Formats: sequence, structure tokens, C-alpha cells
Amino acid sequence: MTRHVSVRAEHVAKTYNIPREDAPLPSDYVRRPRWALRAPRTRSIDALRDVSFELHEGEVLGVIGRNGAGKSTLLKVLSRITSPTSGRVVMRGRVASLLEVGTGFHPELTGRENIYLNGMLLGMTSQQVTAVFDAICEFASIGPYINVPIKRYSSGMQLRLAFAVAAHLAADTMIIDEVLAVGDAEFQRKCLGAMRDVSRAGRTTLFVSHNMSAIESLCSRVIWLEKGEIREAGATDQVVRSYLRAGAASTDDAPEVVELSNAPRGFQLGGARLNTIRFRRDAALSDDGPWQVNFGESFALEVGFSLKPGLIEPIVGIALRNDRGEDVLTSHSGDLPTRWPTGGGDTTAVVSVGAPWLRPGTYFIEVAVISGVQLLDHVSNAATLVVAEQSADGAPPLQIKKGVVAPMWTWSISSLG
Amino acid sequence: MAVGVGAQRHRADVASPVLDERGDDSVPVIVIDGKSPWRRWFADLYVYRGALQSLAWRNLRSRYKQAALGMTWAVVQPAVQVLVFTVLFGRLVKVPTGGVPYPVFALAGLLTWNLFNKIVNEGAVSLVANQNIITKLFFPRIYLVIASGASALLDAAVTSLLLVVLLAVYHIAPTGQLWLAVPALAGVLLFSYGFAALLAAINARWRDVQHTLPFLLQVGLFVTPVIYQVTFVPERWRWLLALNPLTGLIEIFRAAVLGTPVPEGWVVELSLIMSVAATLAGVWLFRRSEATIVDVV
Repeated sequence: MTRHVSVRAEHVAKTYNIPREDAPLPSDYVRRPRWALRAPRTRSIDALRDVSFELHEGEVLGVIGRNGAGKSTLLKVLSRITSPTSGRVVMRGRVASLLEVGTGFHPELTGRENIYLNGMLLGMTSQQVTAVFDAICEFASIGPYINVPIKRYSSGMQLRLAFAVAAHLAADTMIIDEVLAVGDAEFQRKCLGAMRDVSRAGRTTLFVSHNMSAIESLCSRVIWLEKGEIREAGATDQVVRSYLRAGAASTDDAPEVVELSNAPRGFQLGGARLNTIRFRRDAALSDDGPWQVNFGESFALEVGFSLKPGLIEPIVGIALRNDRGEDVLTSHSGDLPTRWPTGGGDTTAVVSVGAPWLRPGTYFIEVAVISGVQLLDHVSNAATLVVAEQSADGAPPLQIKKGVVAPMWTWSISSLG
Repeated sequence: MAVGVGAQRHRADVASPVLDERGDDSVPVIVIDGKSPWRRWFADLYVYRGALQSLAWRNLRSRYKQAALGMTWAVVQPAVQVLVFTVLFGRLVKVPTGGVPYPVFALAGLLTWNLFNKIVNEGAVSLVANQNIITKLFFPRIYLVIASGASALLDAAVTSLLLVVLLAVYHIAPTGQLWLAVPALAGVLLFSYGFAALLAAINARWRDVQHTLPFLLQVGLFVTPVIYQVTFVPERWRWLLALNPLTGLIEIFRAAVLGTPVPEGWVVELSLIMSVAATLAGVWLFRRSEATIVDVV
């Protein structure tokens, strides 16, 4: 039996021309016009280079890669948000993309109105929304809140509603970006379940995630993007294994300071804006690159952000997620009394991560600024941290243990005899 | 039958038979290659019609949210404008209107001007104001421009009712050419959207548009025959009014509704040519830039 090809990408390339920092200023045209007229104003960045693949009907393809590898650009091209610079993609059937949950939600409108508005914005007609309306309400389990403006919903409820709409789209091909990076564990399980149902129903899916366990449980094949090119493609377990193995090596060229201004974001209220996250080593003992520590080694993270003045007791927090998608720990500035500078503006928060006992592996760092119970800004994949198998004090490698963390606690053993 | 991904190179001439551009059966086929032929453009307009409805609804619903007077504002705004202009230009300056009571004269002009003004005002910033949506979702980008004018259309409908009331109050009987008001308004609508699309495409790259636009529109009210007639202007300066794409449409609309004299043929004709040219330029530039507009916005 030959299954139909649903998506075929042929030599897709995308080049962005971004403005140069040293581009001539208006005053340069007066002071040195000859230089200003000839000076390059943009610099080109190849976000995608010669990407080709085929996707068959009903198949779930995973796309993995580090931040900036071109995953988002690929999804934007496939979902027609932007055009490729060269090459082409041919797709069969209706395509729906979900690059962010809740795009186009209007806080002043009720849950009912938002279901219609969002569903139609995603490409359904109002009749199609009506047909799945009850199913959406049930999946989102918002019950009596259906006629309440969604600004009164908790962020969890908004998220459930948004995913519920997307999960019920009438599309043959779904393009999904990192939707599982947000939400609590129960919600993530529900989404995974919904997505599994979707692929079993024969819907072709293209799925981007940093969550390797989600990739492993959903995808039959995976492509690994690096620097805009396909580095490896094939069976899921094989590609994921080589990706994780390469994880430690590839942090070598990661910059110490990660720019967050343009990082993808989920729901946020505004009022604060995360700018950077910097990796700092407490002691200059190691010659390892940034974002790479030995087992048990302490380090510090420095979060740079801008605040609007007058916010009441904002809190900065980080969360670490392992490559199975489990939240390992959360820490925030509200844990212990912290004195805040008044007046807003550019602010830096430093957290010292002392002897964290993180198991060797790859960790994804989430950063957030919160005020009260409201999320002002948050980036769910701000940076990647690799914990090497070697322990900080040169002690023998860690024995195999159960659990999410591997603490090294002191035992005292005495004989009772 | 695992198909090699990535490393495998496809040549166009060995394209597998189950996936070609024509669509072998009833299933639609989407081609993404940076080109946008008209046929594909119109097909998308149809497929994504729900998005237009959704965007227009958002625009209308958020328009008067948490405003105590709600829809009353649609009546209050033109009423206050008419009042101010009647005092200034009807009573003090005594602008000639060909015998038509000044309030009706002004309202007929303001109906068309406000429609243009609001469509352009909101349409020009529609892409920038909705960046968070266009960077995450695909639908025909022109729908953002069209939907942003939804509230302007509603306001114009309310103003039309107000105009009917004023016509009755002043006992002005409908003219024999009343039907001309329909193509005139349709013309205003087309030109407004074309101009809004032009500005929206430019504003996506250079925000200077949205900074200068309010000022230009303020000036525009006075260099367009809204609160006066073309004949009010000395003959040797009328060519300036003829270059204004709204002049002809407004004069035709007012002549159709109120029976005011139509200015010289060449003024109207030149003005109509200008509005067609501006509309076409807007659609052309918008279509040229929409495919990669999210890269620069």
C-alpha cells in the first residue's frame, strides 16, 4: 500500500536581511555621503539552507534542534506565515498551524466568543466551529465560565481553552510548535493524549519540541536541524540519541549571554520584559564553556530585564526542565526576602545555584517575571544547560540512581554491636 | 518504505504522482514558493473567509467595550462635528452651499470623509497593531486591512440614518439621481481601502507613516471639498482639488443626495482617475510585499 505524500519540501531556503548595527546614520549622509551611500545597510542570515523532506499521510514528524537552529523559520515557512527565499513546499489538503496557543484571543470577550473567533481565525467556518463547539468545551472543562470574559480566567484555563480549539481544527495536516512547553503536568498529558488521537485519526503532523519524551512518544521520524540545515534525519530513537549525545559538545559555542528580546513567548501580560540570561561560574576553576557544568558544580544565572515603574513586588523566577519534559525545580526571588530597587527600569537578578545535584543530562531553563499571580513575561526555553557526567570534585562518576535529582547527602553509619 | 529525509534530493521532474500541483482529486493542494498568482490569491480569500468574519467581529466588539455610551458614540461624533462646522462655516464664514441648509450639506460631506478617514486611520496601522497575530498565523493579510474598517462602516451606516433624519427635518426631497450615491460610496470605499493597503504595507517597514498620518488627515479635511464645494475655490486653483482622489466622489455623492451643482467635468474626471490610480497602486504594493511582510514588521 502506498500512502500519499502529504508534505514535500524541496530545497527550501530562507535568508533574512537584518539591519546592521553599523549601518549609516542619517547624519552620515551629510558628513560623508560617499561612504554612506555605499555602506551596506543589511546583513543576510541564512536561517534555512537546502531543507528537503517528505512526509506521508498520517505520519508524525518531529523537528528537533537547538535554539536558533531554524526550527521556527521552518514552521513559519510551512505554515505560510513567511515565504521561502528559494525552493518550494507542496502540501496536500488543509493545513492548520499552531505556533502559539491562544493567538488572537481577546481578553475582553467571553469564552464562547473566543472559541468562535479563534477557530475562524485558524481557518474554520462558523458552521465548522458550531459542529465541534461542545467537544471543545468538554476538552477545556471550563463549564459554567463559558459566558465569562476570558480575562477573568486563570492562565491555566485560558491555555486549556486555546489548546482545545486547536485540537479540534478540521485540518489534514497540523503544524505544532512547542505547545507542551507551557501548562502543568496534567495539561501536558492531556495534550499529548489529544495529539496521539489526532495522529491515529490519520492526520499528518509536524511537531517541534524540546521535550524529548514527547518527541519519542509521538513521532515516527525525526529531523534534526542545525544552523539551518538538516544534520540528521531518520528513525526517532536513533536521531534523538545522537542529538542528546551531541548536546554536550554543541554548548561549546553557545554564548555566555543569551538574548531573550526576540525569543518566543507564551501568554504574558506585559509590564516587564526579559532581555538577557547570562551564565556565570562561581569560581574560575573550570575551563569548560558556558552553560556546561560538571555534576554537583555550582553556578549562577543572571537575568536581565526591564520593569515598568510602580509594579507591586515583582518576582523573578527560573525553572529547570529535563529532556523528558519533567520540571525538576523552580526557584524565585520570592523564596527568601529580597529587596527590590524602586522605580523600575533595567534590572538584573542573580541567582546562585549552589550544589544543585542535577542528574547528568540536558536541562532547559525557563525564566519568568511575575507580579502577584500574574505572569508579566516569560520565556519557556531561554537557555540550555548541560550537566556532565563527571563530578565537580573529581570523584568517580555517579552510580545509577532513581529519581529526578541525584543528591549527594552525608550518611553516617555506625555499628550497634 | 521509509523515505529518506533531508539527504535525499528531489528533482522536479521525478515528482511522485500522488502529489502534483494540480491536485489529483478533490483535495486542495497548497504550493509555497514565494509566488502569489492572482488565482491562488483569490482562492485563499475564499478558503479563509472565516478569518475575515472573525477579525471584523473582533474589531466591532472591542470598539465600544467598557464605554458607558456604547453605540451612542456613533451618533454623537458626527453630530458634534456638524454643530461645530455649522457655526464656523455656515454662520461665520457663510460658505455657499447652493441653497442647501448647511447642517445637511456638512453631514453629507462628513459621511464620506469620516468613512475614508477612519478606514485609512485604522487600516494603515492594522498590520503593525496585529503583529502578534500575523507572525503566528496565516490568512490573507488584506483581511486585516478590510476588517479594521468594520467599525468605520458601522459608523457610516449610523451617519446615513442621521442624514435621512436631517433630510426629513429640512424637507429635502430625494433627487432623480439618488442612485448615483451608491456607486459614489462604493468608490469611496474602494479608494479608502486601496489607500489604507498602500499605507499599511509601507508602515510595516517604516513606522513614519503612523506618525505623520494623523496630521496629514487633519490637513486633508480642509483640502478636500467636505465642508465647502469645489466652486467655493477660485477657478485657477481648482486643478489642485482635482488632484485629490476624493473630490470627484464626494461631489457626486452630494449632488446625488442633495442636488447640489456638480463642478466642471474635468475636475471630476481627473479626480476619479487619481482615485483609481491610488487604489491600484495600493493593491499592487500590498500584494508585492505581503508574502514576507512579517520579516520586516
